[in-house]
Formats: sequence, structure tokens, C-alpha cells
Amino acid sequence: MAWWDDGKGKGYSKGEKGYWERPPSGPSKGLPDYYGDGYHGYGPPPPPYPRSLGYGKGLTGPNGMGRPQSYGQEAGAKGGKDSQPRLRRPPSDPDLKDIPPPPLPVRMGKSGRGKRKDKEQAAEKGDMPRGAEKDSKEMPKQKSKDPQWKRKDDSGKEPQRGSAREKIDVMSAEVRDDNPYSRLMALERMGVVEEYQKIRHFSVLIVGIGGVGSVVAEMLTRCGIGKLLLFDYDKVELANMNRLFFRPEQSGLSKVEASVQTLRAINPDVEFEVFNLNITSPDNYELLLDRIQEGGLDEKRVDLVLSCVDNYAARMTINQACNELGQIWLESGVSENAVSGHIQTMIPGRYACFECAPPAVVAGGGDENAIKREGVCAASLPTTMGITAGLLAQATLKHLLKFGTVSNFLGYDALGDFFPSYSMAPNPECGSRQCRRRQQEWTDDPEEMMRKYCLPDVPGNAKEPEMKEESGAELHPDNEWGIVVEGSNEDTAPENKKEDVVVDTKGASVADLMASLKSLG
Amino acid sequence: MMYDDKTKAAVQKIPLLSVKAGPRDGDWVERLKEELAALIQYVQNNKENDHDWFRIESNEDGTRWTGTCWYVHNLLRYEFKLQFEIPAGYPAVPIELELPELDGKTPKMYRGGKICLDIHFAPLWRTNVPKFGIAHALSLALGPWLAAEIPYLIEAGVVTHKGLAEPCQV
Repeated sequence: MAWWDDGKGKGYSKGEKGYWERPPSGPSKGLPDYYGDGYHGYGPPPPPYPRSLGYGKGLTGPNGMGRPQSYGQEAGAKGGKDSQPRLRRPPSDPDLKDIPPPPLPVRMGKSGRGKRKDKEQAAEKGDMPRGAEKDSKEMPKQKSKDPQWKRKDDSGKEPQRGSAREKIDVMSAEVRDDNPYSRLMALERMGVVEEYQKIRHFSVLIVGIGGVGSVVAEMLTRCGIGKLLLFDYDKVELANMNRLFFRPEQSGLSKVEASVQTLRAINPDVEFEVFNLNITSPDNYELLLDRIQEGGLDEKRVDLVLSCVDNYAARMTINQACNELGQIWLESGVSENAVSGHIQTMIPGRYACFECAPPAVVAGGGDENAIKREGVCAASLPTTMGITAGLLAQATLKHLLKFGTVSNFLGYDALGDFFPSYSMAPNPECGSRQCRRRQQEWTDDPEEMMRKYCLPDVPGNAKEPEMKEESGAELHPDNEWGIVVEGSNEDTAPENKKEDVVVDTKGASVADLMASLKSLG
Repeated sequence: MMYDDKTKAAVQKIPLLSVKAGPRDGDWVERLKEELAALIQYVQNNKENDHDWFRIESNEDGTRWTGTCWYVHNLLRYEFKLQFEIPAGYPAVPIELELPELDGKTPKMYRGGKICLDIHFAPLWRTNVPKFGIAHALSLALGPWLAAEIPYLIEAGVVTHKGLAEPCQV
């Protein structure tokens, strides 16, 4: 046993920096206990993770989620046969002489199978310039004639540096250095995605083009999404340069303008529509509703709304819009101290909406006021923001192209290297009327709702929220200690007392009241 | 708790609202009446306590509000333009108070001069929908914000007194 191992396999112990503890469950914030174990989310359950492969003897610690025992130099330092199993041993190992090495993964690059064949053919026909060495039988006619991604310099000149590529009509799976989609289309061959080209029919609306939103937009652009609609009212500043995507020379430009500049150059196949405005004001809210409903390709509804905003008001606004329209959206957020983030799948009426359970309270498990820091508004790190953006873009692809599991809530705790995932049932007493209406729809006809939201019908795809009954009384029939659950409002609402004054308009009209307010000066 | 007793006492005297409606809802007129009545009461309270510190009025449909607020520091009165819009999702979505003249002068502000309230004000607002209105937002968000930021900005020389030193009536 190593000097740092206490034998309990926890990695960190309580009180130490980096120790992560599951937030206390129970209705301490007036919310039901949403933490359940087991599988949550939709899509097929993920395969069991091979826990002993190269990473010590399995993951242990609280809830089996601690740090691997072999973390650090231990595995390498020990060496020898009794050390952790390794994926590949050096050929000098005498034990390995008679065991053939594992097959190498197939690479689809230059030495890939297809290429070699082409090369052989080319050799038979004599030297052919690259780009012409193509088997016409394998390719659609139109493309074999003049591949759309054909380099302009096929005559032998070096490609002009910095030149933008032309638009491509159809995504091709052909493995070529100059096909921007070959690695994406390979997802089909690898059996991950059924039909990758479908991505070109999807449109995604992103609100907030900051540290997370801009990176998500870039990822989706590189993936060849059909259309992106970007909303932001901020400008690029040098203070943003600790995050990804924007460049110093873009400071002063509006964020949407700067991003569309970059994104168009990266992938001209993607359509863009950008709005430099704040969605919370009434007029702009109407515009947001309109763009969700008709902003997609061919004026259809957009397929997904992504929230990458940094404030409560904007999140609530998106929540309302999507509850109102019955639109699936993904929430994302990075904590004020920049060391944790989360993404959340919002299916109106099926999972908790933002008004049912604001994630900061739930995920933190404590008083949101406690995260207040003196000084500037918030810290940020390109790492945490990039990871959160990656999780969000990944969930977007999984949701749109229907592969893997899309969790309801996925957190990232940078200090503890922990990714909690669970789902939250909606609050039947949610303050949003629209949310309650959507909940009713799910209760009435879950099958119909699954169709309406185009959710894959696979095992593990819970038609109802996965939570157990939350009616506290039955859970603990013998309340020996007389424990009572108090409302959560007390410490945050000092003015909510019995002697409160309630407003009385005394039957005055708006005009009267406005006049008397004015006359107070 | 981050609010001092004086603020708490002032807030407790502002009448609570009851209609949950935003500018897009049919009941908005009722809500607007309540807002106005509460504001009138609050201004009157402030005057009685010799702590009059803002004036606002709205456009016809009550969605855009403009006015001034002031803060007294070392017997000098510093006045700032105040404006805000009622968001579409109001009151579930809190209002965002703007001090356009201070835009870019302090990090505790979003672009456009919106003061940064997410940490302490948003959670409080959330637990008091629909009881809180504009008057509550001013007393719980703008008041403490001015008290925390303005002296600091004056010390830093970012905010200077306009025109002649106008003695304050204490």
C-alpha cells in the first residue's frame, strides 16, 4: 500500500481541498429530493465502463466515483508483473514473446485502405495528379467529374495560404485530405451515427455568444450544422481574451458580428442569422419567439435552442419562451468561481424547468448567496468554459443525430474531477403556468409527447420522470423526532412577515397613479 | 444576511404586490397600478425618513421607465440617470436596472450600464415573485449597489461631482 493510500480508496478525504461530497439531499431548499441513482436521461443506457483497464483496480471512493487508485506515478513507478495491467507491454518483456501484439486500430488517413487501392490503380495508369485518382464507380457522377472540394492547385502549385474554400452541396464520406467532412462522415462507418448528413437539415438557435456560446457555435459550424441563429447584445473586449474563440483585433465589434466573420470563413456551408440585441425586453422577446418558430431552414421551427447566457434574467426569458412554445432547449452554465459547470436538457413538462429548480441552487446544495465574492462580477477560465462548451455541443449532436444518452443534468466539478449526472422531475407547483400546462400534457399522453418532441423510443427512455414519489408523509411514516420541513424562504426573504403591508390601489386609474408619482418631485 | 437593518426596515414598509402579470399578459394594467401605488408609498416613506433618493416615471404602457437617482457622499450630491425596461417575462424575470452614465466605469456592471445584481438580488427576487415590484427592486438592488459602489468610484476619481458643489440639506 502506498504512503498516500489510506486503504479506503477515497483519494481525497473530507476537509481536504478537492474533496467532493454529494450535496445534501432532502428538501432543504423547499425542493423535493431529486437525486436518484441509476440511469437517467433518454437514449439507450451507456455500456458499462471497463473499469480495470489500465486504470488500477477500479474506481472506488464515495459512490464509486473517487479518484483511481493508480493516479499519479504509482503504476509506472512500480513496474513488474504485479503492477497494474497495461494496455501494451514493451516487446522486450519475455512473457510477451509468444503473444501476438493486439491489432492496430485502422487509420483512415493516407495509409488507409481506400487510398492504397487508388494508388495502385494510379500506378497502373501512370502518374496521375492527386484529385483525379478516383474510382468513378464508387462516386456519384456529378462529383467524380468535378469534386466540389477539389483544390484549385491540382496542377501542382502549393495551395494558396489563407484562401477560403468554396461551398459544398453534399457531404461526402470520401477519405481525402481536402474533404472537410471525411472525419465526420467516418462516424457512420464506425457505427456511432446512422446518418451524419442529416446534420445539414438542422438549425440551432444560440442565445449568448460568450465563453461557452462562441465555442459551441464554432464546434457546430465545424460539424456542418445547417443553420445557426446567434443572439447577443455584447461587444468583444480585451477582457474576453482569457476565453476561446475571439481574437484581440476583433475587440469593439459586436460579438455576433465578430463570430459570424470567423465562422463563415471556417465553414461557408452553414447559414447564419445574427441578432445584436437583448432578448429580455418585450419587443425582442417577440422576435425570439418568432425566430424559434420560423427561423430554421426553409422557415421551419428551429430544432434546438441553446442557452449560453451568464445571467438569471436571460435564462428565465429563454425558459419562458421555450415553455410557451414547447421547445426543447439546453441550458449551460459555468460557476462564478470558474471551477464548475453544467449542462441541462430542458424538455418542457418532462424535466424540471428553470423556474421549477434553478440549477445553481440545486447543484450547489447550499445557499446561493454564499457564492458571493467581493470585487469583480465573476471569474472565468478557458478550460472550464471549453469543457462546458464541449459538453453542450456534444449533447446537441447526440440529441439531433440521435446517438448515445442525453442526460437531463450533467455537471462538471473541476476541483474533484467529478461529473455528476441525474434527472430532475418537474415541480407540480412551478411558478410558470406554461410549465404546469406542459406537465399536464406529459401526464395525459406521454406517447404523443414522445412523438411530438421526436424523442427516440428506446429502452431506458423513461416516459415519465424517473423520480420516486416525493410525497414526504409516506416516505417516513414514523417520524420519531418530529422533524418538520420548513419553507426555504425564511433566510432569503426578511420582509416576508405577517405584518406585511399589501398594496392598495384604491381604485385609482393608471393615469391618476402616474400623475401622482410624477407630482412627488 | 447582506442587507442592513435600515434597508430591511425600509423594504418592510413597501406594500407587497399580488398580481402576477407582465407586459404581455392581460392583467398587466392591474399589475401596473400596484407597481405605481407601491412606488408612491415608497417615495413618501423615503421623504418622511429624510432619505429621498430617486425619481422615476414610465411611458404610457408602463414598460419603459426613466428617472434619476442620487447618492450623497461627503455632503455632495451625485446624481445619475436611471432607466430600465420591464422584461417580457416579468415578474418571474427581474428587471435590470441601468445607469447609462456609469457604463464602462465599473466592473460591477454589464454592457449598457446594467448593474450587476445576479448574486445577491436575483435569488431574493426569485423567492418573492410576484410580491416584489419595482419599488422593492430599487430599494434592495439599486440602493445597496449605489452605497457600495459610488463612494469607491468617487475615491478612485472615476466619478466626479458635476458643476458647483451643491451643499446637501441634511
